[in-house]
Amino acid sequence: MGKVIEVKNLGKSFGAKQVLKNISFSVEEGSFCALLGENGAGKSTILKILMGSETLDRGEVSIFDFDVFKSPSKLRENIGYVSENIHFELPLSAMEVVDHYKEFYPQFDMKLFTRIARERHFDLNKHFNDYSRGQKMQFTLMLALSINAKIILVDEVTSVLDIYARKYFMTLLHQFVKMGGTVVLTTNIIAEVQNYATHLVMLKDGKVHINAVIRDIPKFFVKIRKVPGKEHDIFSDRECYWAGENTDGSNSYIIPTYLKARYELSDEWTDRRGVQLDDIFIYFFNVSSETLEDKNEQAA
Amino acid sequence: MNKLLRLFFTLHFKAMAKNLGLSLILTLGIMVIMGTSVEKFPLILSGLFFAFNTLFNETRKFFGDNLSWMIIAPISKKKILLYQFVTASLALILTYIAPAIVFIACFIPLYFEKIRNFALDSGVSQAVMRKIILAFSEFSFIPSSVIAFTLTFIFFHFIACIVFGKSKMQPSAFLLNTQTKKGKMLFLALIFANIILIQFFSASILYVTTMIIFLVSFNTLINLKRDLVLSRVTDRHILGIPVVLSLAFFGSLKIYSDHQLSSPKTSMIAKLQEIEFQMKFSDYLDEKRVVEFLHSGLQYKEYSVLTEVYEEWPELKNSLNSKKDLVFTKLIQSQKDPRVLTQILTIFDAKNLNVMDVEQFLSQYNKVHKGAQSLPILALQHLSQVKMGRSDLMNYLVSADPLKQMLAVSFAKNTELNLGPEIVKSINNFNDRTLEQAKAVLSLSLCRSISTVEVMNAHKAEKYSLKNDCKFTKERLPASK
Repeated sequence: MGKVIEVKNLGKSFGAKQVLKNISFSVEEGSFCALLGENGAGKSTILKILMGSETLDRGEVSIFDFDVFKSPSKLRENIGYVSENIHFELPLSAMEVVDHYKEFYPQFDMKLFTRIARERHFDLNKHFNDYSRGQKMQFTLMLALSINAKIILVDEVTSVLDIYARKYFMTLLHQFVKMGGTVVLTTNIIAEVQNYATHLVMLKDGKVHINAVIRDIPKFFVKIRKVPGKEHDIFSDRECYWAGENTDGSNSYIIPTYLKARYELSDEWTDRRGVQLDDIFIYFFNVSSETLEDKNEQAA
Repeated sequence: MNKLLRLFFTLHFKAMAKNLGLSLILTLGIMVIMGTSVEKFPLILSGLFFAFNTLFNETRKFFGDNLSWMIIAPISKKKILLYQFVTASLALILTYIAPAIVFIACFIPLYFEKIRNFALDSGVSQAVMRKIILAFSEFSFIPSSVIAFTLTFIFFHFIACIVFGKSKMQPSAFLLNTQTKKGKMLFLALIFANIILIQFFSASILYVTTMIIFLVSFNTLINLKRDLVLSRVTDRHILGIPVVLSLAFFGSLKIYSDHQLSSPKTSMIAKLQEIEFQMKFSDYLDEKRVVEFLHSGLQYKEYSVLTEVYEEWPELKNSLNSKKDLVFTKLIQSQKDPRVLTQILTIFDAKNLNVMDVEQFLSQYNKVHKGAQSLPILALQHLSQVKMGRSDLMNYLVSADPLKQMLAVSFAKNTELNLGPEIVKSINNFNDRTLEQAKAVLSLSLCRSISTVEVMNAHKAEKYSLKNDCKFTKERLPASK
């Protein structure tokens, strides 16, 4: 499987604020990549740059080996983009919007669209602007899924959807990936990443902190448990972070794997439940701006 | 055609259809309220359609509003820019062309019979062209009002920027924002200023004001419904409000205009403007009423304006003459100033007048100019062309009324009547004042049949000698006493 998206040394500033600093990552064909990060971390900006609707200050961004700013517009026939900022300000019914929209995408699958609309109980005779915020998101997701794209970029829309719609569309996106499609999803919902994503890119302070396959990520961390009455020096280490209190009164902590080796920690301290993505998320939002790669290098 | 252009034009035509529907409702309302004839239907419909297309052209924002999905669609950005330019230009052209097409489409069936008849006489192309040019000259009235409205707003917006500071005015607010307190104040000031202007001018300005009220209320309601995020049904109901409002304004406009026309205090210029305004829209106002409105209680100083009217508007004079039997008595009897009375008389072609009309005039003249011993030369010249019988004139000569005597004298030039001998016979009955005027009349009257000197000598010598052919010369005169 080749790389379908490649971002190299991407830098972007808005005024004096540098949002993205030297961002590099790639997404392979047939993968479900989750871009995780705090609000304002630059996730949506990356997707906009990938769509060519936002400029970059430096670096290179390519899709299917085409520079997004030099690529033919026809390339966008293969990319679906879903964002809260997409508006169809047309005095037309949703069905009429679809009729016009599909003309821009020769491979538009009308059958799939009507099937999803039926399953989601969509009234296509309504005007787009009469839909609720969540319905608008669903509508744009339906369009993106129906254009027979090779890549679908989803910008944080799943947080707007209700639990049923979210599950429904995440399943559809998952099926899309299984059929060889590629999805890049920006989100704050860890469960989505955990259940559906195959690849994680975590952003903090304009940098990529994690760029790894989801199943490999737990290998970099260890979850340990502090039972009341027992003490260990590792708990006072600045890289050891509290990850929550347990029902038996013990507290869980998360540490990078190399720290366990440094303190020669025995298995009795290990929390058997294993490392979850939300633990890692907490860890990264507490640590300094050093990336995991920096830390691993330092540890080595 | 390109997909994007097709979508744009679909939307544009849809918006135009909406505007046309709205214009149609308004036009029908105006026709009922103002009593406009079916012939004026194309004019008003296309005018309103033009106004709506100009001011409520939502498709102008098409590219700006829909850029979010267009920019991610497989369309090159250069093409989007190009299409934006092309569509903006075409939209503008369509805004002007569409009302003209609507106008012609409505106009041709209505006038088909007339055009056909006209074409038989003067050739099809010439006839159609003439009609169209005529129609378009009328058609310019409503757009010009819209332009006046727009210019007024630009002016007031400019003033508002100076008064309140540019930063406080929305840069995009081309029209005054009537939702703010200051905007409302300015709007009221605008209406007030127009009302003051109306006092000096006419309902044409009231018409422009009405348009402003209508359009602003329409615009405000559109903004309001957006802010309130109303349902579509409520949306449609709300759009009905400005339509009802504007119809109510047109109704009040008609009442106001009628009041202005019939009021004796209204100046001639204002009356003319009212007539011009009403003639554009209303067919209740026929020529007979126009004449009544124009001439009732006419002041002498205003007569020069009326003279200009007839010069500019010969059709009115012709129409007036064709309806002489209906309007003459009323017009003559309505005059209070002998000078104006004389002027009014001259509007009517002397060939159309008869003895009764002359009597009517003389009676009114006596009434408004008590103790009058003579008639103005203008009246005499005009009346001397009236077709009158010899017996009537002879009666006039022997009557005690100096006006009638003078009138009979003025017929001296008419060789067919051969009044010369009778005038000379009656001259001794004339009082001094009448005699003096008779002298003047005969000097000026192009009288080929009688000499002034002869009359005077006859009067003084109580001797006269006239020949039936009345071709007197000095040599033929009898020796004075």
